[in-house]
Amino acid sequence: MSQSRAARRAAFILISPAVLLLLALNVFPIGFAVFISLRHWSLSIVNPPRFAGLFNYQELTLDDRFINSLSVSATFVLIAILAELVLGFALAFVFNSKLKGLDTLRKLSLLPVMAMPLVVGLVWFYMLNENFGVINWFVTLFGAERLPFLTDSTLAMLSIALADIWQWTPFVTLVIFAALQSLPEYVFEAGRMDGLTEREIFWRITLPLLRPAIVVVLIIRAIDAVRMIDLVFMMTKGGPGGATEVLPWYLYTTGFQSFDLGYAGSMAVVMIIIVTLGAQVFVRQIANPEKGR
Amino acid sequence: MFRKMMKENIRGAACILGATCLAFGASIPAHAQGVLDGKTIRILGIGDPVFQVMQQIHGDLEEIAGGEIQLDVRPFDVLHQQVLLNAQNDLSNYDLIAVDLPQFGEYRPFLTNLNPLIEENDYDGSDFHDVAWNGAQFGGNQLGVPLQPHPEIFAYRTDVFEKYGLDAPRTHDDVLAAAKTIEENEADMSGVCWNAARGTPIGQSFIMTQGDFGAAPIDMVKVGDDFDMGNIQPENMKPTIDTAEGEATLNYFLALLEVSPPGILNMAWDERVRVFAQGGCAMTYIWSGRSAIYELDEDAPARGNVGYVSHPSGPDSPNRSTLGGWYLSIPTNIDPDRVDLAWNVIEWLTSPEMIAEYTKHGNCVAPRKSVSADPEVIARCPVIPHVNQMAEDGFLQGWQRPPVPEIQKIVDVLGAESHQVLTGDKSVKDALASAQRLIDREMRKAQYY
Amino acid sequence: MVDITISGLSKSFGRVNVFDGLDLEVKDRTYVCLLGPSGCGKSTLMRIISGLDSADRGEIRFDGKNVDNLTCAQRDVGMAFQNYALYPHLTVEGNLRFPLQAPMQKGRWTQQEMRARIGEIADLLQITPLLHRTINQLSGGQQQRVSLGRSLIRHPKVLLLDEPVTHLDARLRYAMRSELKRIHNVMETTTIHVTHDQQEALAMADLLVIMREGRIDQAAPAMEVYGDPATSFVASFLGDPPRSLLEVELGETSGAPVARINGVELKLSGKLGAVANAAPGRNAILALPARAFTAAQADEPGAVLDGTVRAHEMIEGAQRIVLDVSGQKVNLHSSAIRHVVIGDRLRVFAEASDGMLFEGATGLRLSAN
Repeated sequence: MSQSRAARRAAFILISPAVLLLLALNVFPIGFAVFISLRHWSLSIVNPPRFAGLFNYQELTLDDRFINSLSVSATFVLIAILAELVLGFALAFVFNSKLKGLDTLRKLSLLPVMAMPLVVGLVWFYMLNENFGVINWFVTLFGAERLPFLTDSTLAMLSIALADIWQWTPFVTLVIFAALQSLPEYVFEAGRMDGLTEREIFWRITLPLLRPAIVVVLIIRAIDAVRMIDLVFMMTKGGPGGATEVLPWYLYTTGFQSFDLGYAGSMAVVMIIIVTLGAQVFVRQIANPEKGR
Repeated sequence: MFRKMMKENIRGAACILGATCLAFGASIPAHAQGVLDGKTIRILGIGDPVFQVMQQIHGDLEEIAGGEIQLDVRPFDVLHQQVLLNAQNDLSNYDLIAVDLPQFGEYRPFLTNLNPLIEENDYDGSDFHDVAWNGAQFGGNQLGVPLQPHPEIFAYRTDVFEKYGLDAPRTHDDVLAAAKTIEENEADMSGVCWNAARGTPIGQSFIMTQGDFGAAPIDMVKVGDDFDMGNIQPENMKPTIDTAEGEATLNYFLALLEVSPPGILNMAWDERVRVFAQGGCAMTYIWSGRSAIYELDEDAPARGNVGYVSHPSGPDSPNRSTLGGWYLSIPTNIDPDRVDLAWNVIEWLTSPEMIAEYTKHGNCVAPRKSVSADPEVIARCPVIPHVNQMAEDGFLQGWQRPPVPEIQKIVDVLGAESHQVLTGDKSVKDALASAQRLIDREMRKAQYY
Repeated sequence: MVDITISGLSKSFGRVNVFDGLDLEVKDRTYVCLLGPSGCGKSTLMRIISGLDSADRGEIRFDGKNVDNLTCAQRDVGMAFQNYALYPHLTVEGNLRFPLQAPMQKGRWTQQEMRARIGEIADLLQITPLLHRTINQLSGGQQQRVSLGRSLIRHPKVLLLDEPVTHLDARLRYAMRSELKRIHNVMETTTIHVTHDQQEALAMADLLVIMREGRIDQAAPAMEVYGDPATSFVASFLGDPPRSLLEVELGETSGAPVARINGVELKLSGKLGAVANAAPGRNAILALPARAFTAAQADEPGAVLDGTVRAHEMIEGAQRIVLDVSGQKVNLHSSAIRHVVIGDRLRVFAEASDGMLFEGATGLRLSAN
C-alpha cells in the first residue's frame, strides 16, 4: 500500500515538469485569452478593463469584416495548401529520379524555407509592385499591360498565395521526398510482379504508402497557413478592400494597432476553436481512413 | 565586443561617405560636447527621415556626445505598440520616445510634464514655430519638444503645370481638372499620387481630406474655421463620419482614383513620393519633410521642379494642412535618476545646429525660426519657406487628427471601410454607415456616452 | 507448369560481372533450389527469370518460347520476396486480392471468383482466420504465408521464392519447409527457390543448383550433388560440418598411391588410389569429411597431422574443432570430448578412404577414367 503511494508520488514528481510546462505554455495562455475576451480591455484607454460578458462574441456574429476574414482565410489555406501539395509532390518525384545535378538543385531548393517570411513578403511586395516591380517590367517587355498584382482582389489573393507557395513548396517536397526515399523498393517490385503499370503503382501503392507523410505535411502546412500574417502585412495590409484580410491580420490590427484586446481576444478564442476542431476532423478523416479495401 | 566593432564600422562608413566628417566637426555645438559623459541614452524612434538621419550619422553623434546612443527605429504601427507596452512596465526601457503629434492624446498619461525642466534649465521654446511648440501643450503642460513637426501638404510639378498653363491647385476641383489635362497629354505621367493603401494610409487620408471640407472625424467644438482641441469633452467624442463631409471625402477619393497611377490601392507614404520623384505622377500629397527624397536626388526628374501648396480644399472651405510629425518626450516611468540626462539629450538633439544638420541628410524639416531662415538650409530644402509661410498663414492645424486615445481605432476602421469603397466592394453610403457604427460602438465601449 | 531453359545468360552491373554465359535447364513441375554463398548471383538470376531485371546477353525460354521481352506479369510469374514485400496499407485479404485486380487481369475475375480463389489459397496456407488483419498485426511466419499466398493466387506458371524462410525462427523454418513442399505438390508449379542454407536446399530440392561467383558448379538432384560433388567447392560447401579441403601432392610410396601434406603421407586405397594414379597433375585437392579425422594422443605415432586449434564448440554429445594445419583448415567432428583452448596444439589422424580428389588448378573432380 505504502509502496504504491510512493510510486504514485514518484509518478507525480516525474510528470510535474511536463505538466507545469504545458500549463504555463498552453493552458494558461488559452485561459487568459478567454478571460480577456470576456472583458472590455483596451491598452490605449486609461479606463481599467471591465467585465463585458459575451458582448465581444455577440459583436463577432454581427461583424462583416470578421466573417469576411474567415472566408478569406479559408480561401487562402485552400489555394496555398493545394498548390503546395501538388507542386511539392511533383518536385519530390523529380528529385527522386536519379538524374545528375539534381542533388545540388535539391539542396538549393530549400533556400526559400530558410528565409524569414517577413523578408519573403517584402521581396514579393517589391517584385509585384505595379510601378517598380520587376515582374511587371517583364510583363511590359512582352508588350502586355501591367498587371495589378496587389490591387486587384483576385490577383492579390493569388499573389499572396504565390509567395507562400514559393516559400513552402520546398518544405513539402522535402518531407515527401524523404518519405519516398524510405519507401521499400521491394513493394514496388511486388507491384510490378503483380502486373501493375507504373501509373497503377503510383495510385495504388505509392500514394497510399505516402499517406502518413502527406498527412503530417498537410497538418503542419495547414496550421501554418491558417496563422499566416507576415505576407499580408508586407504585401497588401489586407487589401484591396478586404480581399486578403485573413483572420490573423484582422486579429492583429484589432489587438495590436487599435489595442482592442477584448475583441481581439474573442477572435483568438474562435480561431483556436476552429483550428482545433479542424485538426480533429482532419486527423480522423484523413489520417485514419477505414482499413484497407 | 561585436557592438563596439559595429559602431566603429558605422563611424568609418559615415566618414567615407563624403566630407560630412569635416563639415560636421565644425558645426558641433560647444555645449553639447560630452552631453552623455560616458553614459548610455536609450531612444525609441520611428522609421521616418529624422531618425534615419540619426542612424546614418550615428557614429559621429556618439563621438560628439561622448557616450553610447541606443537608437531603436520602428515602423509606425510597431512603435505605437512598443510605446503602449513599455508604458505598462514599472521602469521604462527607454529614456526618450518619439511621439507623433496626434498621439499626445493617447499617450498623455504616460508622458512627463517638461515644464519644471524647462524652467530649471531656462530653456527658450520661442525659437520654434508657435504651432509646432504649442502642439505638444496639453492643459498648460509641455509634453514634448518638436524634433520633426511637419505638415502633410501638396506638391506639384511646376514644369508640367507651366507646360499646360495650369495654376497652382487650390481646390479639389483644381486638382482633378489639372490631373485630367496632364493625363490626356502625358503618356507616362498620371495625375495624383496619394495614400490609398489599405489600413492606416488611407485611414489617415480620409480624416485629412475630411478636414479639407472643414470637418473633423469627431464632434468637436468649432472655433472660427478650426476646432478647439484643448478641451475635448466626452460628448465631443461622437463620430461624425456618416455626414455630408464624409460622403464628399469618399466621392473625392473615387474621383482621384480615375487620375491615379497604377498600383494606387497599395500606395503609401514612401511609394507615392518615389513615384512622384521619378515622374510617375504630376502631383502628390506629401509630408513636407519627405521632399528631400527628390530634392537630394540628382537623378530625380522632379528635383527643383516642385511647387508646394497646403492641402487643396473642398468647396467653400479654407485651405488646411494637417500638422503632424515627431516630438521627443520622456516617459513617466523613466528611472528618476535619468531624467536630467534625458532632458539634456532632448536639448541637444533639437538644437538649431542639429536641426540644420538633419536637413543635410534628407530631412527637410525646420521647426526653428532661426534654422528656417538660414539660406543654406533653404537651398537644400526649398519646401521649408513654403511651410513657414503656411504656418504663418494659420494653414497648419492638428484637429483633422484629434489627439484622443481612440484615434488609431478611428483610422483603422476608416482604413478598412474606405478601401472597400475604392475596390467597389461597398457603396459610399454603406461604408460611411458601417464606419460610423463601428466607431460609435468603440466610443460607447469606452463609456464616453 | 512450364519448362524453363536458360542459355548463355550474361549480366553485369557496371564493371562487375555477375555471370557470364550461364546455362540451366529446368523441367516442368520441378522444385529447384538455387544454393550458393551470398554474392554468387543467385538472386540476380532469379530476378532475371522473373523479369524484374533483364540480362545483357543470352535468353530465357518458357516452354521453348523466348520471354525476354515480356514483363513480369506477362511471363505469368509469381514471386515471394525475402522480406515478404506485403502492401502495408492493405489487409491480408487486400494483399491477396491485389494481383487479381491488376489491369492485366481486368475482367478475368468476377467478385465471386475472386472470393473463391482467395478462400482456396487461404485454406491452402491456413490463413483464413487472418484475412481481415492488417499486415503489421501478423507474425513473421504469418506474413510469409500471406506473401506466398499472394504469389500463388493467380496460379502462376513459375513460382519464385527468394529466401522465403530465412527470416523465420528455426522451428518455423523447419515447419515451413514441409509446408512449401506440400503446396508444391498440390499446385505443381515449377518453383525456383533461392537460398543460402544448404540443409534447406538438400531437404527440398528436386534439382539442386550450386552457384559460385556467377557460375553454376553443379546442377543435379540433391543427393547426387551431396554424394558426388562435381567440384571441390561443392564438396566443401555441403555437409555439416563441411568437408575439409586439403591441398596435397599426389605420389607413390613403395608402389602404393599416397597424398602428401607437409611430409605426412596419407594412403589412398582402392578407387581413390586409382583416381590418384590417373590424375593428370601432381597437385590435387583432397576433400575429407569431418569424421575422417580423429584426435591423436600426445605421443601416439603414425601418419599424424599437426595443427593449432582455431575454434571449437560443443554440440549435442560431440565436439567440433577447427584446426589450422600449416595454413590449411581442417574440420574435426568427434564424439570423444577433450578439453582444448584456442591456440592449443593438436595432432589428428586422417583416414582418406572416404575422400574425394579434385584437380588442384581447376577444382574439378578427378575420376579414374
